[in-house]
Amino acid sequence: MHKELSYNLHNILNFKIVTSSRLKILNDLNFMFSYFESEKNNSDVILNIGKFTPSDEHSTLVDHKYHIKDNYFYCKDKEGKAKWEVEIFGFEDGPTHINFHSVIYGIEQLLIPDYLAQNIILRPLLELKLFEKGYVTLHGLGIEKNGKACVFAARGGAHKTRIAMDLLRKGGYSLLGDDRLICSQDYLFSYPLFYNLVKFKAEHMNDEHISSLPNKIKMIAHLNSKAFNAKNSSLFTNKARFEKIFLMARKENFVELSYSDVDLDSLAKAIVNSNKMEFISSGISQSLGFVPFYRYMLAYSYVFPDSKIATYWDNLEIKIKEVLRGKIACGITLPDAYSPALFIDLFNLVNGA
Amino acid sequence: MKEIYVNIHDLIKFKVTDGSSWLSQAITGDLLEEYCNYLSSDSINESDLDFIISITSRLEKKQDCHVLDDEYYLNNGYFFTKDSYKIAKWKIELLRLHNQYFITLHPNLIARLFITGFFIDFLIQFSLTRKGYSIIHSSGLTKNNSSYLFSGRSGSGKTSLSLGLMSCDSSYKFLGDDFQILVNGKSFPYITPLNLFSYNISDYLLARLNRDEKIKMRFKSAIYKLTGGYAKFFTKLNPATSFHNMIGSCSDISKLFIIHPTNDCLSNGIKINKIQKQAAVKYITYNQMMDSRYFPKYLIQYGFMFPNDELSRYWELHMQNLNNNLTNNVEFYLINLPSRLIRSKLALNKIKGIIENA
Repeated sequence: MHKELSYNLHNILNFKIVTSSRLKILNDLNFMFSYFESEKNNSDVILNIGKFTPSDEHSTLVDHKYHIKDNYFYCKDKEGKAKWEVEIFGFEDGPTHINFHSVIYGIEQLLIPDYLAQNIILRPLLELKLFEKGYVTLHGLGIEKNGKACVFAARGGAHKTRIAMDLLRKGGYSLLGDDRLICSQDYLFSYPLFYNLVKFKAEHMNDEHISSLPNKIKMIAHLNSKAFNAKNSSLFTNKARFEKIFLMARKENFVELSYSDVDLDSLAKAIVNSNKMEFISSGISQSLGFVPFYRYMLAYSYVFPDSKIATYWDNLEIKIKEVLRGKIACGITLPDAYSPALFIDLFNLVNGA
Repeated sequence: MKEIYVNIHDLIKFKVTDGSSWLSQAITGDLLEEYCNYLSSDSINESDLDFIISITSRLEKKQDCHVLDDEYYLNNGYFFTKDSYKIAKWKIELLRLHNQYFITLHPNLIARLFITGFFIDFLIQFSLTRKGYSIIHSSGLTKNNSSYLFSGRSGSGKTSLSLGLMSCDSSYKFLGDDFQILVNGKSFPYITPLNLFSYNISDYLLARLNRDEKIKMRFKSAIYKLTGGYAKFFTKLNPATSFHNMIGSCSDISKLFIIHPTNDCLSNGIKINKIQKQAAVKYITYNQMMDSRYFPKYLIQYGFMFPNDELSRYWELHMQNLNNNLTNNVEFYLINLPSRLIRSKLALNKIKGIIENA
């Protein structure tokens, strides 16, 4: 039996996942875009998970591995305990059709069989598609109050989750995205992945040590209870006016919050680098944390150096500068340890004090 | 403590010190065989070195760093991280002091085998680029002070092509198999040992191997097949000693070929098209970007904190230099070569035709 899941990203982009996996237990981890599930629609992107036969004749071969022709990509690949095969029609120009088949030599094969396809192919590809439609994906935390939004652009390990939870619980803010956001010239749109995981953290966890075993068990129990439904929650705001952006990093042996000026040019470059990293490694699972998509783009660029794929990063930088021009921007350095005092400083900062 | 100095045509100079235990040195063999043709017999003044690599068995990161993704530690002109590839694991630290780079590596036994490919080769490229030179992934030949470069990914047949041309016309001299250094319209030879494997050995080379070397090679191929491609060991052959009278010298770049293999089975179509310099520069740059995986990743992560630093602007500089060092008299060709014709006489003759058609 095939299962078909349709998604609608803020009426900007529609996509569909077709899979034959039957497992139900960890649906919320297996399908990361659950927040955007919708009625059937005309999909810009279709991801087909399962065995397939590639149509890779007349391709240019890069490294004996990547089979590339105009608007087409195919390869067999492996990393760590995963092996997969992927074919993309409409790689740089839509509509896009992805065939993906993977085997993971581990418990993930049973629990989250469709995760890899989404994390290493669909997620980065959606970023390219969003860009084509004039939207930029940011990696960071987005919060909203009174229709105005502010972004903390950061790499991992910069207290993003704790800041988010505190602003949510004590600051009267609502979340736009805990890790990713979509932005246009004037607006920020929510882009929560693993929605129920975030919701669980927000509603049930006082400390953020989600990785401890009792908490993991608690979490899985919650994710499987029927009452825990994505549709009836006000945790996330979908859209808000884009006002401020903070470029944030943590520093060791640092005592208090400090600010620095950041020019538009450096800000845009930093964000592009952060987005590149998300195409190299990212994910909820350590052992499946790799993302080969950056390499796939390089391989395609080596064959088509003037393609949209090859010029993506340069064009992204230009677009980000365009989007951020006139926004309030500042660099912030956070101390190693998160504290109530730090939260007060941050709260004052986002409130414009 | 083992210490070597490398000097490549007086363009760059570096030092490698290996402080690992004698046991790991003995097991993994000579890691620096790659640079055997450019070893400097005298020590070089520290301040003249572009970079210094220390391989140690103890490496602690510096204090007070910015921490990204809980695993990258950065400061202006500094980074530290831990990384791995299959069962190879390493810690790496890079430090810039007075315009010199100091790299410290703490590899496990397996990672020692990748030190040249993953780190030193990239540092050579990086240092050349900083000084305005270019280095490209290609094999090269020279004849009458004109050089012909074949740029491609590994397995695109660039080695076979060079060796094939040399075996049918001995006036072609060898400029190197993997990399050429370009300086203002000239290409310098860069002779590194050839990585021989059962699939890329040509008759030209086979004739130059002795019996022991042939047996070793078969043994290594067997291991490759038995482990399903996991363990890949090459046999090294140094052209500078095996065919020393065939090595060319610095000459003017005349023609540069970009080779793209295809899986076209239907036609005999070897397509050769003249392309613009601008396009060639891009092909070469993307080739280079695919070459190394780890250092470029560190540079991207570093570029989040220090986007305008020379480390973060490396690829931009790389393209700029190529534009300058490939002067306007150079001709560029893109070859679409069906993979089954990679080592064919047909391909060889077609390319020979273009080279000789001045």
